Amino acid sequence: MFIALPPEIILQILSYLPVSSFSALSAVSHTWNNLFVDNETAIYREAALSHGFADQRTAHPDTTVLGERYSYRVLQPGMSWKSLCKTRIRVRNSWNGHAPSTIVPLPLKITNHVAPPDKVHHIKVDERRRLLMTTSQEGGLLVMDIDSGSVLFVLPPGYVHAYAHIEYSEGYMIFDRLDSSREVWRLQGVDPSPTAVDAASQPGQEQLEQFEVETHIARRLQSASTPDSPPLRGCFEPHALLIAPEDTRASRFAYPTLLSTSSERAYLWDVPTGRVVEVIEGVNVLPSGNLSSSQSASETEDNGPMEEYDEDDRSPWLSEHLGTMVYVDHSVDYIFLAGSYAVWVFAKSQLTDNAPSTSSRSTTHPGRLVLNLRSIRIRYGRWSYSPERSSGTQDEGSALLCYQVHVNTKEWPDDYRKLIDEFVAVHVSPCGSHFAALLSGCRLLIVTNFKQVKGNPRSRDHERSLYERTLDIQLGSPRTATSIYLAYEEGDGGEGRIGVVTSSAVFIIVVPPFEALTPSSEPPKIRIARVKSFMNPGCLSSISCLMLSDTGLFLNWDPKDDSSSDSGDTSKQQEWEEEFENSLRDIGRLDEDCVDHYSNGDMFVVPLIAAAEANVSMVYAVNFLPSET
Amino acid sequence: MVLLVTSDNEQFNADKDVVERSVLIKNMLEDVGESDQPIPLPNVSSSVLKKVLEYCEHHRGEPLPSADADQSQDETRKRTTDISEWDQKFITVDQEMLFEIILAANYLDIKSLLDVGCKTVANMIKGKTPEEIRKLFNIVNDFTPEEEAQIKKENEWAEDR
Repeated sequence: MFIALPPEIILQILSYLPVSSFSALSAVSHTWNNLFVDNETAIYREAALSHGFADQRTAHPDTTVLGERYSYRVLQPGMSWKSLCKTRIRVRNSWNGHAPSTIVPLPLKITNHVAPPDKVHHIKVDERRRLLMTTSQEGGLLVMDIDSGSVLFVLPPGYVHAYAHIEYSEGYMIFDRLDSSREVWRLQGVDPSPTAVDAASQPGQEQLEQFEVETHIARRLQSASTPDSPPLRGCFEPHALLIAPEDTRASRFAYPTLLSTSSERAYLWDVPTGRVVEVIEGVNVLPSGNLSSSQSASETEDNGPMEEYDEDDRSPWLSEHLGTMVYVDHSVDYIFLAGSYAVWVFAKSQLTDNAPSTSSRSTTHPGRLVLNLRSIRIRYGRWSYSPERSSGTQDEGSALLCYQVHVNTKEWPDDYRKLIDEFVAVHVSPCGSHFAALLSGCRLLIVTNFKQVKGNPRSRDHERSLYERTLDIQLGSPRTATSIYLAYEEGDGGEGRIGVVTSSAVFIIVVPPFEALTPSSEPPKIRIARVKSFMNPGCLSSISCLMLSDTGLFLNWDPKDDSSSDSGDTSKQQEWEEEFENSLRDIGRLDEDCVDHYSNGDMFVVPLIAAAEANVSMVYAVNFLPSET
Repeated sequence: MVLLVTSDNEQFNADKDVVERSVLIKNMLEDVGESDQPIPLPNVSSSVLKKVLEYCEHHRGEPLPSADADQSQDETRKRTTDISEWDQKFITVDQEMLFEIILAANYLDIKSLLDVGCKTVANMIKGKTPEEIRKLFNIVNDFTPEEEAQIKKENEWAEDR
């Protein structure tokens, strides 16, 4: 009866099914198997659309439309819809620890004369263009082909200072100079008609001169004979020099906007024009007095009397200050500042004004704080998670050890004791709706659908509304480890991938799409895994970069710690693993043993002294799409 | 009121705005103009039409999907197999009736009902093994054990992990 339905109806039914059901259906009978063979293209195109691997515009799986989304590693010429589905599912399973992944040093080969990246400090990867960019602990910047290891472009140590920070997005590379200005370099050929850069931000003479020298060298490196040959691969040209009115430390670039912050102000630059489009003032102190005057009525639905925090004498500063700003991020509409005492989210002016890019003048305004997440809670979210001790399993061929996840749900607790910690980092999800924040005590918070958090940012209602949307994930004991780094990316269909480095492990947390999540939902199902062989606490504490791409996780690691290879010191590795597993016992009684106490009952996370420094000098990748052999 | 005649020659009287949820009937009425002529539905039996009219009655007045909204609707349609509570209850019928309703919704061109039917079948299949699917739809396994093993192996990649 079922199979007798008209084919278009069967196709519609299949469009509601995951690909996993296709394999079951094909194995039902010959008739069913033939249906899949005969209608392969139609069935798998539908599946690709419903799984979010492609959208309606995509006529063939290997067109340029998909090239904007996936790298050459995923797309092959003449690829069928079925093989696109197959590859995407393999990547997803690999991130989940259920399909092969490998740990590889990058670049895979060294092919030309320039020394390989050594003493790596900061790493950027453009997977679509196959570029690996690194800065060094000793100065200098290298751009390489990620596969062949060919060096494509160099800026020497005398030009780029030691421990330089790079930001990269859509072919624009930004690094800081010692005088706190920032150089912008543009990948040659990336923008055939670049926007005119403002007079005040024209590239400096030294940039232009260096470019002359470097193109010459790059041409030699790539054995390109004539100066007029097409743009050299991986070769950058000076685009702008951004000089902020004051020293700005933390920065984050997501094309086309660069956010850079001083201790008091946030500057938003439009990088293509080199123009400051917006300055948000007073970002380090909670707006004083009656907040509601600067707060639009729509933001504060609870217009009742404000419930101020009942601060004791010891820590009044906690409620008013952001603390040392440690990390910043931004989305289209908001900026996210992580300070030691809080994560604050401010609205960009676009939300209220006309788009500033149309006028040449920047807008300066006091920050409109929309969210205030303070680092003082014993519990931050309705849903709390942790890896179960010694529950880890490793599939054959996977570099990940996947844990059973312990979950519990708890309505707003009336426990007003404080557990004082510090934020280490914040990242907004690529979709712009959620953000992740990392606390030093191995604790990851994910605030879902943060725009729906209600209440005045000083009020208990606000804190409570935040609580109801937050996932509180404890990844180890603050007694034995401290948080180092955070990264947030998204896979197909809005699935989130979060990378966390603590001084005891590298974690990958995979979270479902949160759009439909409400405060009364069942706890969302998350996955927690750690990269099995990255366990050396000295190396972990020294990691200065973590980056995720569609098919890889990148960090800097000590090549001498070869516990990732077979010849490694297994006894050491075992010891570290045991130590970590034992520490998971402490989760669940954090307030007793893992923190220190003030006399009034409040607690604080004891800052850990970092383990001995290691020489984390090489780029390593966890490859989630190793070639099938 | 519109008069409908089923394949087993039963007559049904229904409000115009109820039966017009069927694009087929709507077009027929437009073609015929004002007329008391009964509309024959040779592909629909009385027991099925009764169910279909119950559905149309409940959803009367709701906006019909317009043809040009197809694409964006498609996107959201695919994301979810959720069915509203009333529809869920309505579609809890035996398998034969379920397929009859799907065929009737397809013939009468009632998109929302067709969606509900297809989602229901999809939800029945989701998460089931080949053996469970055979049992569910009364299908005979005509594979040799070797063939079955081979097909399972070819589809290993798609399994939920």
